[in-house]
Amino acid sequence: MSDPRDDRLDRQIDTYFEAERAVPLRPLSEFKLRAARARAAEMAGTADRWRLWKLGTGVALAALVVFLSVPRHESVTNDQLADRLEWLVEADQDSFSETSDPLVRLDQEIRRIDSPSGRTGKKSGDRSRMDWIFLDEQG
Amino acid sequence: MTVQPVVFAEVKDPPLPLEALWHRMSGALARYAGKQLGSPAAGEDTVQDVFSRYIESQPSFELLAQQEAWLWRSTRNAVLDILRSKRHRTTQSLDSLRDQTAAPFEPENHGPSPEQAVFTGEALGIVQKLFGEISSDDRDILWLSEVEGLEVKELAGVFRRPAALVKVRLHRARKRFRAKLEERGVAGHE
Repeated sequence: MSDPRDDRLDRQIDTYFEAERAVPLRPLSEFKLRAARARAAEMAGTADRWRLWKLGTGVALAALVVFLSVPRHESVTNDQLADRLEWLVEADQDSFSETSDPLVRLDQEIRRIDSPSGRTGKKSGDRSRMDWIFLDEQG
Repeated sequence: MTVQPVVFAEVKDPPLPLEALWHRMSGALARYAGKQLGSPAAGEDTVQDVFSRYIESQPSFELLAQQEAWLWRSTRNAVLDILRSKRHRTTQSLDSLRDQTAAPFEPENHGPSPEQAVFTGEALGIVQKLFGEISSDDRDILWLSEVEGLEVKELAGVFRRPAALVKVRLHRARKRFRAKLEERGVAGHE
């Protein structure tokens, strides 16, 4: 069984809500709808600019990654240099160069290795005097 | 121009074009938002923002009921955002300053019903004041249910909660409101 006091309070609450419902509703002015349209257009423009900015940033980052990942200069590795030096020491010095200065010869050799045709070692036709002697002996 | 209080759309009503939707819903949404924010002007601005988002996002609906549920939900979320923001705390303090000097809001008088005639305007004002003092969650659900006429099913859509839970929340909100009236000595008329 419900409490009569609660019932009375419920009636008051219902009366209050009824009074609120009785307030006539009016749609907001057309001016506000036009303002809403203008604001929506502005929001769409901002969203478009934001999408464009994100796209541009993505493309720029991708280009930067590609640029950084492609080697622009193929340098001589330490192993290649060490092999070459060893070869120099062991080679017949007279057959190798016009100069007897080892530093100048080293410089020439490095330049030769750096050149595209020199990366794999000897150029074709680059034979030492020992090679020619060997060939002579072969006839 | 006066329109009838919003009655939730029939199940099979097709969605309305923007202008018709504005005409049908803007008044009720503004009333709700204004009540929650304590300022009719803030309520109107909120509804304008909600419609801006509606126009910008162009959601597609198959039924008017879904369209209306979207608007109620968006308005409610916008109101909650404002209530949580610092901006509103500033606004609240200014509003409270204004309210100290302004007369309390009274619903327009369109002729009292027999029951209202018994229930004096003074008591109505007290209940209205106390309704403004209950928690915003309770005020939210009570207003949507009792004044805007949303049924439990529609409230479940707006709150994104199961209907059973909404029903419980509604019952508890009313109970707390009743307790508040009792606590403040509103005895209830015979």
